[in-house]
Amino acid sequence: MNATPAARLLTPEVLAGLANLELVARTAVEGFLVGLHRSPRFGFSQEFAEFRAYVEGDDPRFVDWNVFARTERTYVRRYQGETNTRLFVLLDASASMAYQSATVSKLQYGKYLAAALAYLASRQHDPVGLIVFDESIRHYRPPSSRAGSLQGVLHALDSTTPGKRTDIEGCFLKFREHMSRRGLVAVISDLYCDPVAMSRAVQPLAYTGHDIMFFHVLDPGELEPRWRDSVLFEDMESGQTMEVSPEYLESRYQQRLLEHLDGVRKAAGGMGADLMLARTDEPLDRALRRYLMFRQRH
Amino acid sequence: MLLAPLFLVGLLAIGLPLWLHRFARDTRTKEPFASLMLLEPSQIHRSREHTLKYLFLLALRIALLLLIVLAFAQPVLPWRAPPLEARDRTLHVVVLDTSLSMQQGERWTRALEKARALIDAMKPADQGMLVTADSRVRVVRGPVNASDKAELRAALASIKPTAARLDYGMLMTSASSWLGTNRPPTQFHFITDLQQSATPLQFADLEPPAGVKLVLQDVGTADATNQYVRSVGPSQHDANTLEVRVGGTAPPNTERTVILTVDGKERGRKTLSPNDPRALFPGIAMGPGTHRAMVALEPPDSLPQDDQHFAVLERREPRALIIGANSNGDDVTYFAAAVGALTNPRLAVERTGSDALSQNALAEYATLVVSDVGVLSNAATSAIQRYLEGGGAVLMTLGPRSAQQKRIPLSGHTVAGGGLGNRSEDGGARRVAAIDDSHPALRESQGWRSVRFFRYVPIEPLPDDLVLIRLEDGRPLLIERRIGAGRLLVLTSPLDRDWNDLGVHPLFVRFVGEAARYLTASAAAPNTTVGSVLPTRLGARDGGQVFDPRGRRVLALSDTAGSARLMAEHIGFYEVRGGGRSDWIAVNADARESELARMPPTSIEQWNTLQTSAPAAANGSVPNAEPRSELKSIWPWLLLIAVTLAFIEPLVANSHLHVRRGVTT
Repeated sequence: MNATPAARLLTPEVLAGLANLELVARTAVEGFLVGLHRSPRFGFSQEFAEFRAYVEGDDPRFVDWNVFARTERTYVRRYQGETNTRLFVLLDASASMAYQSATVSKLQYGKYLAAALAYLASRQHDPVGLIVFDESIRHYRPPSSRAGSLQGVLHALDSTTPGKRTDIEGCFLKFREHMSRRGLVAVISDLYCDPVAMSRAVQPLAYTGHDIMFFHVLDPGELEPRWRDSVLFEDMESGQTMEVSPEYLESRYQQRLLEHLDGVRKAAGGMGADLMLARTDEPLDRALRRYLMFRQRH
Repeated sequence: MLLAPLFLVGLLAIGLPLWLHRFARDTRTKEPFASLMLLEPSQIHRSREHTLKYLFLLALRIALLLLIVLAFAQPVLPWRAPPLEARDRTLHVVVLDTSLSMQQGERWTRALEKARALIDAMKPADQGMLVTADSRVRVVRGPVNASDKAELRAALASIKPTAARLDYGMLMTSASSWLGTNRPPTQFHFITDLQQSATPLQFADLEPPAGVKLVLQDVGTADATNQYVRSVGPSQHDANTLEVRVGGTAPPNTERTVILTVDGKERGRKTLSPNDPRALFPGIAMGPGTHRAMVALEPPDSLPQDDQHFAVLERREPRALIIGANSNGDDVTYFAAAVGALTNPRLAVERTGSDALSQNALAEYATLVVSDVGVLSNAATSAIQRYLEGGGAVLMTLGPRSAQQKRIPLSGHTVAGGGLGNRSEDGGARRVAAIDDSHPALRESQGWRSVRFFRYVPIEPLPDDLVLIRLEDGRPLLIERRIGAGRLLVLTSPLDRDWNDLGVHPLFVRFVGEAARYLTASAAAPNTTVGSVLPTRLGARDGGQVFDPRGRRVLALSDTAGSARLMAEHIGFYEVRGGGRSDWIAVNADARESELARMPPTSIEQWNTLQTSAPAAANGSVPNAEPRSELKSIWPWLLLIAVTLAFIEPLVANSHLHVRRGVTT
């Protein structure tokens, strides 16, 4: 039975009904893979690229011993994206990620996204690591492609709950201790921080060769807040309150939000990182497809 | 003024909504937001509409609490009630004629309209009373204040006309008893059709009680015609021809047909001749036994209730049983000869000894004659006793055997002197001193005073006895006594030449004949009128049931054993089942009700002026024309308003909160 494109889209509401995070990830990934018609360019490092001469430090496991036997030269197999094989998923679990105006919160959506990325990587036997942070690192799982590592990542994601404030700058300073080897770093956060400070914190990672990808997760209630009357907002992280008029939300807030998104995008671009805005009401497979298309273009 | 001022402490509860509203103002609902990083505080201007809603809700809640507290405190207000106008207070007695004739045409509708108008016209200080009158006078609703007119109207709606007869004399003479004496000045509104046949024999009986002003409300019409079936029975000339007699006048230009039905089968139709009020149905052969005949006139006229007539026809000779010590004795023979000489009704006479009686056989006899009741055995006494209780009729004499007993069998009288009966002190005969010649059994009373009584059994009359003949010494000679539904005539001297010379006197045959006719007529009565008392002939030991013409049980369970009489209320055949037999009683409307002729205007005028000159003092009233000062409690009204506010408050509160929430997604 051929499903219509609309039916293939897995809405966050549907995924929220699945209790098992692995099932969520598998459903989302398999769903969008079917939509890609088995595209050959879907992985991180699947494709064979070239042979190159062995240099010190290369993993001897990748030496092509058959060629060595014939030519007595040591070559190693090179794969496209070989340098990005390690996937670090950095999940922001601060209190602000618990915001929810629709079916799922930003944290839930981020967890689905992280699980789907992890599943996608492990499907290609790439090591997957996980760091859950708010104002400090709450959970760390080093990258591993061993059997059972995916379940470990998924279990860690599953047990993640909203924490306290966010301190991206401080956390990224610590990430460098854990991410000595290059890899793909997927940052899933609502990025409520100063773009300049963010740039300052993330730049060292970019300079060490990490391919950084920001998933800017935002709720529709944040992007398009609609209130008929004045409302007393309470900051979910600081607890501060502020009474805001609907007129402000419709005009000035929208303007400031766009400025912030633009600032974040510029900051990411300045450090060579990619940024993708993910709305929590967007179907997950569509977000993944957008991500892969985005990766393909760059 | 407050009856329970302590409840005012509850007013402190008003502080609760005040505090709640203040608290609610200070603690607005906080909406969580991811970050205030991009937000700035705004200058908030609350709308006037919201403020008004807020204040309205607060006022509503305070008012609700205030009303509840006040309701519990039971406030009363001084209220000056209008004076009762006791001087003008009048008791309006609305008497509705519910007799059969009121069902003619539109009479009943007009009567109800008049009654309604009278009730509506009563003043607030007046009293109203609703009464129906036919063969019985019923007070449907006792004196109620005119302010409760609804009660009178409801009672009026429940009244239905009956098939019974009304006698104006009975109504007016009984009025003083059911009106009572302690009453204000009374107006007696009599709503009737002023039927000529309802007037009593003595015009003076129409006089209203003292202090009662009669107001005749005429609902009759002068030109009303009615034709009805007067009787149905065997023709005098031919037993197999049934003769139907019709009374009244037929509606103009209407040809009416008489339909005869016997035992449920139509036996013939005859068209009535305008000049002949009879219709003969020859060749109606009916076997022995009881037959039910029904005659109907078609088409129905304006009073269709009397267009049907019911009759129970007996096709057997009533029998009389003479009981004596010896069935061939002189006394038995004498009695048999006297009863057998009776021509109307003709009785078949049988004789038996006292030892050959059976109860079932007794039920077939119209009357019994017992010569010297002392000869009866206990079993025979019991059998006759049951026969009597079931509506039988017995003529018995007391003789030598009776005189030997202390208590007379059947009648239960005590014998005053022992021995063989009293003799006169001078040895001569006693004669009759007093005779009640109005009694049907003594219509032919000439000759009683010439009869000599040498001896008799002296008995003490019981309180409910009717002494018909007394001897010179004051002792009773002939007594009538009711036992159950039956009648018993007791002659205290036997048919014996040693005791009297009654047997050789010409009076004897006449007396026995009249007594037998009286007893037979009173015992049978299978045809009667509505409002009459029916003998059910149900004995206390056997029990039974009576079914009215609609097939409904008449007797309650407690009455099924031994209810000797009941009042017939419906036209048709009543069936009496009991004692192993089933009897039918035909009940018809009284023919006088079918006569719609009105009272002459002069009689009506005389009746209107027939007022007692000295009206009774209105001692039921207390003159008091001053306005009454009363305390009127208003807590029910306060509670009612509070309940209304309690329904409004959630609506207003919901509207208010809805604005405050204000989320659209």
